[in-house]
Amino acid sequence: MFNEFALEHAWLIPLLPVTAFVVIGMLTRSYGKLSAAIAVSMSIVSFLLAVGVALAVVSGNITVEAPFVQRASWFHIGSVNISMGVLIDPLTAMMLMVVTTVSLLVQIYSCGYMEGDAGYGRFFAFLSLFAGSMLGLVIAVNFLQMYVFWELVGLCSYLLIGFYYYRVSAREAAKKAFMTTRVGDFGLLLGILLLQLTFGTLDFQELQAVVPAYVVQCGTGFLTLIAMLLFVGPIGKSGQFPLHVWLPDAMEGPTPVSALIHAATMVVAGVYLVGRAMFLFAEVPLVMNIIAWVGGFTAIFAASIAITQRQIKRILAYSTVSQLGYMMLALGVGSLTSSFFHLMTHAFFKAMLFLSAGAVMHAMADEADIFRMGGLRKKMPVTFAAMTIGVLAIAGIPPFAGFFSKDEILAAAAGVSTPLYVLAVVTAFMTAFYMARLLFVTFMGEPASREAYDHAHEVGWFMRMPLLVLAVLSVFSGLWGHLFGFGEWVRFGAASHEGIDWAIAGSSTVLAVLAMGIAWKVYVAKSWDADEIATRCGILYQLSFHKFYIDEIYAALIKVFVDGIARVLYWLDVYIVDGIVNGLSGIVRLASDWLSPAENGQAQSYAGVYLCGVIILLAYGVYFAAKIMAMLGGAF
Amino acid sequence: MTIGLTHYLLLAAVLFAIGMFGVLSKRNIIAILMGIELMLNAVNINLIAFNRFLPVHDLSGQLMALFAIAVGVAEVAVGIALAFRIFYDRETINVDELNRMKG
Amino acid sequence: MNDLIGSAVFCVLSLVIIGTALGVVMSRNLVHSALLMTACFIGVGIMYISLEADFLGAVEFMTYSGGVAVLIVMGVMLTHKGNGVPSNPFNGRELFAAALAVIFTAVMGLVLTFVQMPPDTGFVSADTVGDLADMMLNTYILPFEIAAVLLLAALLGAVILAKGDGEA
Repeated sequence: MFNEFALEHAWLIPLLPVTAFVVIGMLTRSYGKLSAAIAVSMSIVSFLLAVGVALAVVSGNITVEAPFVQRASWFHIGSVNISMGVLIDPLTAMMLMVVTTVSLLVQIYSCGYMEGDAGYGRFFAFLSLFAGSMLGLVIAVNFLQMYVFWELVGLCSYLLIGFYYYRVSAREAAKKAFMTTRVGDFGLLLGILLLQLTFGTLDFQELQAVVPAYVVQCGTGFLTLIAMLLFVGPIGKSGQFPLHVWLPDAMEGPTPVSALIHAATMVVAGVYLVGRAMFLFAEVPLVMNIIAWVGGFTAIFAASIAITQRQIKRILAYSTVSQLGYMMLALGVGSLTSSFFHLMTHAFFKAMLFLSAGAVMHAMADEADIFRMGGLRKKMPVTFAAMTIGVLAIAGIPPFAGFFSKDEILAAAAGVSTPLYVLAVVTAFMTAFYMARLLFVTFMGEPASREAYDHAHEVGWFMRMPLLVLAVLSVFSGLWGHLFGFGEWVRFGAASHEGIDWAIAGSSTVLAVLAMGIAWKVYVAKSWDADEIATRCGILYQLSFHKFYIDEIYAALIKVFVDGIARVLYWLDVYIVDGIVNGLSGIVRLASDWLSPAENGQAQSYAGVYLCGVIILLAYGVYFAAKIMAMLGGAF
Repeated sequence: MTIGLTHYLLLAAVLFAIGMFGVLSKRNIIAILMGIELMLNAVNINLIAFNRFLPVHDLSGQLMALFAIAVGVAEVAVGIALAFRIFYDRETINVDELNRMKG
Repeated sequence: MNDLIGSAVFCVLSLVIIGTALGVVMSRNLVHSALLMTACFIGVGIMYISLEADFLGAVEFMTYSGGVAVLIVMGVMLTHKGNGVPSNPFNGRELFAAALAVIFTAVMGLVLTFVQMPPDTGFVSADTVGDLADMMLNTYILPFEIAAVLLLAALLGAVILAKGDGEA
């Protein structure tokens, strides 16, 4: 009963948070508590509806092949009909669950975290809009609807990253996020336009029916271009190399925002888009390969940066980039199931990690450098426990969530390409190492700063409760998914749910434990000196610490290109554009100099000119009449 | 040689051209008015000649000429008044000194 | 014989009209111009009569040779300075004007050579005054009234212009 209602009214799921945004933004912005209450209650209703949808999907006969679709005509332009609507299939249901859960928990957490902030109401307005946009993106029936919400998500990320707009770094980070993702969005938009041109429709269902026939008929040449352009969007949004640069900077926003961006809303949009359009990508093996390699490279690249970072949120940010690389890799090797499984588990434990990091920073008076923390486990046991669970989950230690999803990805990669598998395994090793480093340095050992340590305290219940919920999810969601056949529902093509490949799972677990052991040795037991290792690695350490100088390279490139283009355009402007304008005015001035003597104020000379005209017309008339008479043979 | 419409029209054209010449080349505003009168008469000759030689059934050409004469006389009256006014205001009736329209 | 007389009359009248008209525009003395213009109008009036338009001829004599000539002469007198300068000079554009006039005549002549004239089947009235009165007071009553209004307006305008604004 409720399931049916939820399914029929799935459009309410994104609408409710957006309503909250409107209400808060227009009416209750200045009443922080009220705004928070509105936002949270809307989120709760959304969450319940999402649960209903999920139940409907699981209990009903909605599968990937037979989704539940509602459409309403949006607009017509000529022969182009675009509709908006709701597309519910297991993918959607899963995403709805993840997004509503995480955004609800983040909002509850924010009630505590943002307490006393001047922009309390504004913050909840933006959070609601963010969640609403993401939910709208998830239920989109066609590319255009998706694109609209896609851009809305980008807008919200801009607003939230730049939430502390009075800080220069926040403004810069917001601009960077917005512009970097715009680069990707441009490609996506081009891809969407080409799709419309080629197939005459943007609807996922219709495209799914048309594309295979098109491939049989016309080959994959043009489709490759379209798919590549479409993939540029996810590269930007999901922080894949080389457009990952915005994501680590996105931590300039409040920590709950980072949690939301990194876990549930912004970045998974790209993965979701690729998953949603899998029918298209799967037809083009070349693009699938590119996706896989971009994902794999991003994974190891980001992991190698994360190893040397010192700021807690930055480490987590790079780990997000790395994990997103994993998801892309899984999509690229054709395993939608493992990718989305990892998306789900990652959403839970990464949200928790960020919220824990936020709790730590909250307690330490916004200290971000992990080497200035230390020994916090006694002061913040709950946070410590949550962080530990998160680290174990992301490192892939059984039976935590990450173990199952990561091993599915590894298995899928191993089944397709050995180099990708090796890449993924090395990344897993590095992930375990740097996450263990984060955990150990922050919570173990002796406090680096006694004053800050004394000041530290466990966080309040508003912030503790979401951590607990997420901890439970991080522990069990993988196992549940594994046991209850996640792959039966969320899949592309035939269900490919296999048992755990014990060789792969075992080896990766061993590697993860090994990595954590090394981290223990280095950072807790101090058997090996971290600084000495860093010095020994020399240039590698420098490269990693400076994030491979990507930002600097971009800055230089932008300088070269923008300055170069500006110089060319300046030249064009000065000599061509101004030249044309000045030339025109010069011609006009010359002509006026030449003609103005005619304007002598003498009525008689005007009359003379006028009569000249009359005579010329007469003469022309005579000439014309002569021609006509010649034509008529003199009959007139 | 029979005198026909063509001759009258030619005469009217010449008279008109002479009037035009006067209008264009004289400095004195009253001389210009005289030129205009010549042109008006040329037109009237045309009208009456048409009435006389073209296949019509009433005197509408002459009537037209009559109206034209009326208009022409009115024009002369106003023109002379204007000339007098200009002379009164500026002590001159030379048109080329009336060049306030100069751009 | 009639043709011959008609031709002779036409030629003489043409010569008179064109000659006096040329005199009007070429003369350096404005009074001479005015007198020659009166002569020209008399020639035109006679030509009207030879075109079977006796009433028009009379009107021409009365208005142009009479009224207009008087008006012009009055104008000449009122604006004459009498300080020895030529009263009717050219303005320096006479060559341009002459060229225009000649070209105009040439073009009109060209037009006349093209146009084939219809046979002389025009309307000749035995009683032009009666016919014109009929038309003017029946069919063309409206233009007649409008002409009356026009004349009245011209009269008032001329008076106001000549009198000047704000003068008693």
